Amino acid sequence: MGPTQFNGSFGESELRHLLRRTMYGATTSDVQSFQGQSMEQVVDALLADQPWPSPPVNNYAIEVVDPHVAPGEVWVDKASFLNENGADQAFIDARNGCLQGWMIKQMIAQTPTIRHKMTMFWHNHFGNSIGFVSIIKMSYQYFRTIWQLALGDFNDLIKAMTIDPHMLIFLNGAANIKEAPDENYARELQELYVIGKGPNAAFTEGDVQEAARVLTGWSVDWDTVFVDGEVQSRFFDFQHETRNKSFSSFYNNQVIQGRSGSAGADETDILIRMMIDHPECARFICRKLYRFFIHQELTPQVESDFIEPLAEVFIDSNYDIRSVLRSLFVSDHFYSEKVRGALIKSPLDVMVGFWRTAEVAYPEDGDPLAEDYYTHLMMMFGMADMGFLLGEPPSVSGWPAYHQFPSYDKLWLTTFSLISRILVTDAFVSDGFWTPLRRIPWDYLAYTASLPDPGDPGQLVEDLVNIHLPQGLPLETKTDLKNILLSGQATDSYWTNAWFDYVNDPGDDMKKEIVRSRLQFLYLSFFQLPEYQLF
Amino acid sequence: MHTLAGTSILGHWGSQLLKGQVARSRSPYNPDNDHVLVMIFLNGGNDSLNTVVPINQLSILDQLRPHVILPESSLLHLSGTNLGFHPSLEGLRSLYDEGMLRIIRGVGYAQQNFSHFRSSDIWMSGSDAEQVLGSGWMGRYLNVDYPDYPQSYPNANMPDPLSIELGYSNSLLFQGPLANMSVVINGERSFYQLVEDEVDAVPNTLYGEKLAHAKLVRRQSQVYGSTIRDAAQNVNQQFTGYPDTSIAQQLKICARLIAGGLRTPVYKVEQVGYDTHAAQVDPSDHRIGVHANLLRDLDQAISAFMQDLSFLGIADRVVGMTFSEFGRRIVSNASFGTDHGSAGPMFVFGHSVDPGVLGEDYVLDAGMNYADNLVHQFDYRQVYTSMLEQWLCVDSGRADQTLLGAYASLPIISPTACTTTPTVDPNLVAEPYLKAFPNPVRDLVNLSFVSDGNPLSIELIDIQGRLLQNLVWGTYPRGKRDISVSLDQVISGTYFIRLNTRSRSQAITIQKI
Repeated sequence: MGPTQFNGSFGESELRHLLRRTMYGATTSDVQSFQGQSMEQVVDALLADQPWPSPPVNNYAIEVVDPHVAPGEVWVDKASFLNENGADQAFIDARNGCLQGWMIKQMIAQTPTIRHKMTMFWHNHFGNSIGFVSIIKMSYQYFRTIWQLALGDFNDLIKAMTIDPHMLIFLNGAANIKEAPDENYARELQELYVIGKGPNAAFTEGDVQEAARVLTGWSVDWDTVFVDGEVQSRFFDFQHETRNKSFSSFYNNQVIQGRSGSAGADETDILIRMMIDHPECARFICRKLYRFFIHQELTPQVESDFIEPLAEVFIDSNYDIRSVLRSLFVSDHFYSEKVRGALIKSPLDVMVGFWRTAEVAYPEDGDPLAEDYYTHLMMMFGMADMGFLLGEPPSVSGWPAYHQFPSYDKLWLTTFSLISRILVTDAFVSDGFWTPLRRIPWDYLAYTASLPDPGDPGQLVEDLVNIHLPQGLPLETKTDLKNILLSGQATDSYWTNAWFDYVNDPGDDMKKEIVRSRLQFLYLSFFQLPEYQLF
Repeated sequence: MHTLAGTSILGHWGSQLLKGQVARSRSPYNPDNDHVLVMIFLNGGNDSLNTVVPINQLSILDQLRPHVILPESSLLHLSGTNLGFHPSLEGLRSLYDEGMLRIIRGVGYAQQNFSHFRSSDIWMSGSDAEQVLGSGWMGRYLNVDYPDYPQSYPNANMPDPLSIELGYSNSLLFQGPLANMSVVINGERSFYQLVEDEVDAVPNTLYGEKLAHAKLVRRQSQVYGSTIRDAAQNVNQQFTGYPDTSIAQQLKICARLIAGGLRTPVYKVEQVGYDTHAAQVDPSDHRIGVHANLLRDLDQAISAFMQDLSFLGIADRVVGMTFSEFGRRIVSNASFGTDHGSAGPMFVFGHSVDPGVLGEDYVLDAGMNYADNLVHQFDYRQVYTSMLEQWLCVDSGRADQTLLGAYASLPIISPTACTTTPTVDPNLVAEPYLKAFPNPVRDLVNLSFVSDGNPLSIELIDIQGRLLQNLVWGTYPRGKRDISVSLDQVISGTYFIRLNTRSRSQAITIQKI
């Protein structure tokens, strides 16, 4: 059944709300491609499968020589080396930056899909640090696994993460052996990944210890790290604890039968099934999705009217993530006026969202590899100033904005991070986003020309508001913005004439400068509005 | 004037403040170097011939502009001249009588442009009629003292805004080669909200709750917010006679901030509505109407401001100057208004002005038609040059560099105003990270810069602000570096050379010969 479905009119405002919450910015053509479609059609399109893009290549030759990979060649399947000396560390760092930048590049290139946001949802959920692991081809596999299973069977996702080489290193699973069990992963598996820390999450220390024993024996197949090809994980049966594992009443006192030999690995599947089947799992995941996509506040009414029925959908679908998301995005609650605009943008929503929504274009000249490397590296640095470094969540719990009661997404905005956000949009509007190779300009003249009625100053402001802001603006603020276009004059036609003078003679520097400078001040003010930080 | 919702103070975000934790201890004033210029923009094009009226030419004007002509009996005669003020300008006439007003007649530029937008861009950028400049004359002036604004500002040497404008956004006037150099105060309401630490109301919804948070953080992150609030709070009492008009209230804020201790040398305020195509005067009584109201508001605002400056004890430090994008047509129209014209008067007022009238009578004859315009007697940049040299106390070389050419100065400020003033307070000059020499340069320019070890670039920018080429780029070891670059292929003119890293930018001006 699921939560109550939305049965209002699915108009442009609802469409934009849906795209804001499921994508990192929507281009004009994204929005247009959905015109006239029903809510169900749009939601299904956003939830459709997406192929994993072609892998990153050595674009970092401009910074450092990679002795093992030529410029322009794929490195993710090449042998990795531990940092035995300083020289090696330099290209490991470069591969790291290349991977982080490549993830951002894929987001900029996104077609209408929820896949990128869900990948970041799970990256936050399974908060692994690339730098901690420092074997970058493993990090690449970690992101690929998340991407591929992001909308799939939750059981598959948990299993894949449990034996993911990156995770095995990050949470010490690789060192979890029967002689000296390491409880790190077994604890987070329950506390962070499956059961959570809700009031009813009453698993015990004994459950943590027994789960750790179930998982003994899993490790990284190190032979696959130092040669070309995929890194594999492997079950070393001689390191597996073969005795029975007994769980608390929280898990109905279940006993997982000890197994020896390769059958020992089967215990892991039973363990994961046991945890996921606990009703607390479905609630935990649904609450987290609710907080990520709708709003942080879980009132008793939200619990009963939304979380419970959504959790039922999750259980009834045999833990199919896509089914839960479909229910969420066709729900009455998702489209209610109450929650629209009531989230603070993440740094990705600001950086990638601005790029896409404002239709910034990549430069077409220059060395493509070097441009590619620096452009995305600088975007990554820019977001780091806003409190988000992709691949480096500040703790194993992910970014505080997604879990830290009671402030949640308010934590994205600090005096420093807000200025960092504004400096990015200021740069695009002023003289371009800086990289060591160039400035990447935002062609706001072309963007303005693409709006429905740029010659009408009031309509121009109105359209910007509808496209970029979730809940409109007070009338007096819109009047102030229009005043910028009119240089304080009372007559709309002064702008109209200036605009069409330019449009009819775009090569004339003076006509161009008259509209350009006014648009520049308009956009500076517009993207500095506090309302712009909401979505 | 309204506020952009909650954004009490916009302005460029020179705001790495939180990285650097601004030192709040300000160095003591140099009492010889604390001059402040307040510019009043009369937006829309002020009708010169009904502001400063040539009484001896009234009979001709009566034929040329019958719809708006002022009765001779209403004019306020300026002693020792053939001129009369509009009847609204009683306060300005008193300033004239007291030797605190300089009137410069017929200020404009060659090849008048009649578009509001273009002509105000010309006046704010300091360009020729046919020249497109991407920076403002004040922006270029401030850039010399503060070449790396905004990234490392505020700092102990300059803790205050470089310039403040009251209005709805930054203007071209303060656009520097790197960034806009003004902090905008969006009108009185947001100013007093800032001083009282209030924020706009938000809706009582989940959205409103998040919006309030965004507004709060924005308020807290406003680099100069606390500076401005502190300065305002230093002033407990002001002259009480300010009228409740926008222009008066804007000037009242300026007086408060100046007296409150801001080192900010330049302010801009704005009075809108001078675009009087129709109903400039009341058809039945030309002494009243839209233009009369505008000039009355201006006159009362300036009078109150002058009294307040004396009350606050800062009258010797402040000079005001009006400007408008053009005057209006000689021949009036049947809508009892006037259309866009050319030259007009500028007023410079304050205790330190060199008082009197500059400029001759206009050439007028009764046969003039609708297309005719006043011929300007002074280029507007002559007034700017004079202000730079005589009040902001820079040498003529720097004035020429600011205005991109040499303009003959006019006596507008008392000759003693700058006599004891050092040209530039060395404490105000930012730490140089980029130097270029020789300057002017013929071919090879030596670029000397400090690398922080991170990627950087050095760009050549033209005076329209366009990037011509990257002269230097890459990652250089930390420390001082010297590189020679050929500008052989670059045509002569003024350029900016700009050093960028991710966290710092600095621009300097260079002359190619």
